[in-house]
Amino acid sequence: MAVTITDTSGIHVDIHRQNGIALEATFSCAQNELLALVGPSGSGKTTLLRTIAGLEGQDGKSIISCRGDIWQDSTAGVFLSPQQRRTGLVFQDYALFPHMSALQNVLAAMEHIPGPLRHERASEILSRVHLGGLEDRYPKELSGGQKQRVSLARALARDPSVLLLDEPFSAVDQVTRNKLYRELSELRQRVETPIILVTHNLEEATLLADKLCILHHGRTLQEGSVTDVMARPASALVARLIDMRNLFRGTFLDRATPDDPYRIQWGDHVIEVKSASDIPVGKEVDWVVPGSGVILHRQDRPSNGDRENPLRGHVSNLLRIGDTVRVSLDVDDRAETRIIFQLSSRVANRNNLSQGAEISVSLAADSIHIMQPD
Amino acid sequence: MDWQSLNVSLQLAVWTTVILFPVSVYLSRALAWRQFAGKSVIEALVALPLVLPPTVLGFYLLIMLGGDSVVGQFYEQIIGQPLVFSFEGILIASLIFNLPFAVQPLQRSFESISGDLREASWCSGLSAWQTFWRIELPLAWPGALSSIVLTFAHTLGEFGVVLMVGGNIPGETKTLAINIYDRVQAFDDSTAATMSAFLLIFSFIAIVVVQGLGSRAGKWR
Amino acid sequence: MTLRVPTICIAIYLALSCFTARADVLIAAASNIMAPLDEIIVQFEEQTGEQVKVSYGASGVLSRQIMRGAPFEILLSADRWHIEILSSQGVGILADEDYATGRLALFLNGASPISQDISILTSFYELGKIRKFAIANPEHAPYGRAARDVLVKLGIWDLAKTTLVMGENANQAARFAASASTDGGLVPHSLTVLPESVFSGNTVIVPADMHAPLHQRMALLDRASSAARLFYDFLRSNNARSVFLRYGYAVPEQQG
Repeated sequence: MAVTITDTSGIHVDIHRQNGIALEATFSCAQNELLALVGPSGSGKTTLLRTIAGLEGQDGKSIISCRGDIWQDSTAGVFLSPQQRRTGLVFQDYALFPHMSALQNVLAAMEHIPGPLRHERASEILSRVHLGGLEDRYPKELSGGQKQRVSLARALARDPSVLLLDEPFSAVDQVTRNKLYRELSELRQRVETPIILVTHNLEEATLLADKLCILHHGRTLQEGSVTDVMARPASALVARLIDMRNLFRGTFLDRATPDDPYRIQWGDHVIEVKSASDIPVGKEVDWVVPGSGVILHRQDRPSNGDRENPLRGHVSNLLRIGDTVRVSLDVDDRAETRIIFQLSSRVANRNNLSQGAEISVSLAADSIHIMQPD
Repeated sequence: MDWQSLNVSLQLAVWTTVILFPVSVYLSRALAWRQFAGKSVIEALVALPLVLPPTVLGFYLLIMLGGDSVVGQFYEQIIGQPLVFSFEGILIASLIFNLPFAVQPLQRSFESISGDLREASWCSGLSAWQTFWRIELPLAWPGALSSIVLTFAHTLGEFGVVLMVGGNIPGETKTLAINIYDRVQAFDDSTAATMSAFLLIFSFIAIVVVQGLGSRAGKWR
Repeated sequence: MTLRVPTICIAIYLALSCFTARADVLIAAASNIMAPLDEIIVQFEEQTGEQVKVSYGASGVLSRQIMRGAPFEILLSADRWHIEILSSQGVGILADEDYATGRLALFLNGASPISQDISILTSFYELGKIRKFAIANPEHAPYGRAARDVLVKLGIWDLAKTTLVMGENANQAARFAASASTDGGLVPHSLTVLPESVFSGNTVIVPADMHAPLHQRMALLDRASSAARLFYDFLRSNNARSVFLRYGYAVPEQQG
């Protein structure tokens, strides 16, 4: 469980717990970074967040350090209380003090600031989250979005070393949610605090986060930048968790010559891949291709690219969502080898795509990602 | 109107409420938020005076506090007077038989405070004491008021247990309620009527005042 | 903020309570002696300036309280027996003597002026005219025991048993007897002597030979203060005795 702390400005978490909700989680979030903890319900995301806040998790082996301060170290017997840690926790259901106005709620978190300065600073924070003028309203007089902003303001008022957001947008409607996304992004430009966002909404995570940390049954499966994780999931499980559809099994073949690309045997097809890895020949591998790597062969305009990993089959399903069309192609007319990808409506129409149509596609070799089975 | 017995009644009611309030706050908080072995036993014990006939309570209290008991003898050695038939004796009895009235409304109030709020308070940097004083207690105030009013009113009205444990000692354990009974027996209906009316009006005013305070505290609900 | 004023008031009230001293003479007395004793106390208080506080009740209840440590300084029992019990139980008694002898009276509700013959009760019972009859509880009150003696002597105890309404003490029995819900009772005679009494006119004095004599004895307990001793002596004085007499009690021969 050796953890080398190289960066002392962010937060580092390393938790191993067997009792209760088992956790095996390791990740870090640096200054100015937003890390999204993503996973299905029951994956322990909220438990992790609460452990970072110091609300639970005194048992087990753990090290949590933030900005160079050790918050929790089971081997040294250190466990700082929530009051001693400087966390700003935004609860899923806001947890605003109902008997206090918005201003008073924010003031409550400012015990560390000398009295005369508090009021001014609290007003400033409230206007920063676009709640100026609403200081004297009570929680019951505020909308969901406004309550969330007060909750955020209160968390910020703490001058936290890390901001912890627990599914903060799940209880508001889509329009408000979009507004709050924008406001959060704006906020990040002015606040350097590392932010850890817990969400089960992958879209939200990819929209807001710099880093993703995929959580499953309390284990962190992969931690990395958004693009990294989304393009190169660490395993088939992660791929499934990030909702990558085109996940298949194959056998890793040797390359014909050192100049040739690597190859995977996939049923009757041989798929060429560009990513190099030291995978033993003959090994069963999982491989995945993102929808963006699936290129439709244009009937009216054939190109050279059509020769790269060509596959044909019939369209088993065509789903129009707004301006895009989601195409399900059963390669060789088999459901087990179904490839899903998206096209704009315009392109779909131009190619006369319809259910049952026969089409062919190419898989871009450099977009294919190989994973070793667990 | 016998001011002395009114004074005994008021003293008993006020002392009981003042002593029992912090005790019941502590107890009801623990019962509301903590899990521990024997919790249901304690809850049952707290509720017991509600269902027991006053004579049963009085009987066991006499055994526990009387001259033959450990408590009684200890008290007598220190103070020089027996515990039963004294104000202190009926005060102890009063603290016990008022437990459910003091604890239960408070417990329910504390239970209705979401755990999230306390945690939000801790994460905002407020210590356990600050959280109690500024978040928990204000939110539990309706239950606290009920607790206080019920304890006070119930003590003013208690008859059987006070009589058994305290006897009928003027200036010491002769409460107004007992005095009314006394006066009726003595064919002194006019005094009994005066005292009864007084108790009725006094209790009514006390409840109205306290409820008035309560409604002012709840503007944010 | 609205709590500040009431809180201060309560604090002051409680603080004051710690300073009220209890300097009164504290005595226990059988309930039947209430009327004359209240008068005697008034006289005593006027004469000496000392305050006397009384707890009235059944002799049995009061003596048991004393045995359990109740802080009474004098007990005026309705009989001798309870004083003897106290002394046999080791309660310290400085002095004791008879202070009065009581009588029982029969009261029949709604009966017109009747003859002074106690056997009228027997007739009423045999005629089924008595559904509820009040006496003091024979277990606790000497007047109740005497009442039972009377009923037994009249031969109607078995008849009367199911009709009995028992008062905790003699005065409560009288209260029951006076209420419209009973048909009468056996009450302390002293309650019937005054013209303004509710029992006036409808009572029969019970012959003394129908029950064990109600020699009422008082005891000065060893925890008595000097003021209590003063009162004890006052109870033996002529002033006190004349009050007892006025209420229909007999008083012992002057003991000098």
